[in-house]
Amino acid sequence: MTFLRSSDPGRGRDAERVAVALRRELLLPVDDELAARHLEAMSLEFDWELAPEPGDPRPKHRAPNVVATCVVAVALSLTSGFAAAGALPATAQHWLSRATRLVGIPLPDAPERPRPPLPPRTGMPRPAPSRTVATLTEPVRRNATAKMSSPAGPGSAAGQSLGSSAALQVHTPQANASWSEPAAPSWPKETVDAGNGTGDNDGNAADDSAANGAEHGARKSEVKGSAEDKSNGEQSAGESGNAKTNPEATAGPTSNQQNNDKSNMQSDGRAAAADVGRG
Amino acid sequence: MLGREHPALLSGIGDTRIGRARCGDADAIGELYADLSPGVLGYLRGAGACDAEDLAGDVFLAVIRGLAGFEGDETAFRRWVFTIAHHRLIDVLRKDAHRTIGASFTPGVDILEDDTYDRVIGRLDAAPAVRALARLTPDQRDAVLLRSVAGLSVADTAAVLNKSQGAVKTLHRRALAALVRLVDGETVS
Repeated sequence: MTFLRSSDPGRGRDAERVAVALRRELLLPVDDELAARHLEAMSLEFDWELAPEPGDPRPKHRAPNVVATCVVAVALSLTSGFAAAGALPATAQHWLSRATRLVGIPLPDAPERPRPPLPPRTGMPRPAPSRTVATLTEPVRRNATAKMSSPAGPGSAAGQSLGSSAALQVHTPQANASWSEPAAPSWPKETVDAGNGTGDNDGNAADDSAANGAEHGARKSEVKGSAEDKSNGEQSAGESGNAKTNPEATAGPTSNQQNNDKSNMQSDGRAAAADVGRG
Repeated sequence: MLGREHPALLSGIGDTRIGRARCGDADAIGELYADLSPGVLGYLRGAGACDAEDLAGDVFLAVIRGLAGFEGDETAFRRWVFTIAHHRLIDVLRKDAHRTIGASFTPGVDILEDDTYDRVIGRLDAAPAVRALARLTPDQRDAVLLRSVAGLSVADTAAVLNKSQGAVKTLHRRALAALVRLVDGETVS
């Protein structure tokens, strides 16, 4: 040992004697009870520390940390790379450029895109919602009556050529009613519906304003009415068409009779309501 | 010699045993504890830890916690365990306002509990040396305890104390000389 190489052999022996005395006094076997207590605590600690499987010296919970770190690093590098190249989406590039400019890092801003030209405004402007239905029903009723009377005038072939509006009307019993009894003054609801059917093709009378549908229906009825009923005037087309409307010529007599009865009852009620509105 | 009565302190910790302990083998952990615990306890007692048994338990718990990340051979494992013990000891001694020779170990009092004559004689002979440890400098005491009691090599002691090997040799030599002087002076007085 080191202290045995001392120059004084007597002191070396004394040093060894002191070292032996220390070992004898301090290096004692561990008590069994103490060893059991320590080993139990170590076992519990090992169970707590999620012992790895044999053959896997590394604890398993490190793998997700490494994966997460790699994912974050790759995402950060990609984002910063795209941002530096100005290749991010315009909004992200713009905000990232603004944010990094605040901390002194210049990044290219998003390039200005030419705005696409606005589509030309087509159609009629939507009327103000304050307009009442009662004020609009009268012209609409006339135009729609003219449109619906046109197939009954010249014949059924002309009625088939009417298009969507006529087809839409054929499916509804109210339309049949209008064909059989055109002189009934109860038209406001049906005329609005017919105008919507020709104008929007959505069939939803509640969503659209009555004026919009009425104007569409009126315009279409003008065109078709002039083409098919050339002999009649524009104003008299509806009346003459209505006058010419013949239940025997347009539809079956029995079914139309029944539908007419129902529709008359409904149209009478609506006519009363329309009269109240006009009043 | 008592040092040879505990040969496991100096050898016998194989890589395979460390590997098995790392995988949770209770037998391997028990063998490692049996090999190293006397040296760790002796070091802590000689250094003046108030509750050396509990502190040794903390040291081995820390060993279990760090066992999964340990890589090395037998020598490295011993060095690592005593490094943990050294750091724990420093923490405890810093917390204590005064440094005393272990309260759990009172030389001269426990001798009456042993019956054998040799043991009594040995204790009477060792008690002045143990008391003299408290009068050494901390570095000298650590060098003596790690080299002469725990049986670490100069290189391992230097690694544990974070000093050069020459410094450890010098500390050890001067510590033993001081102990001889202190024991002789106590005996004379």
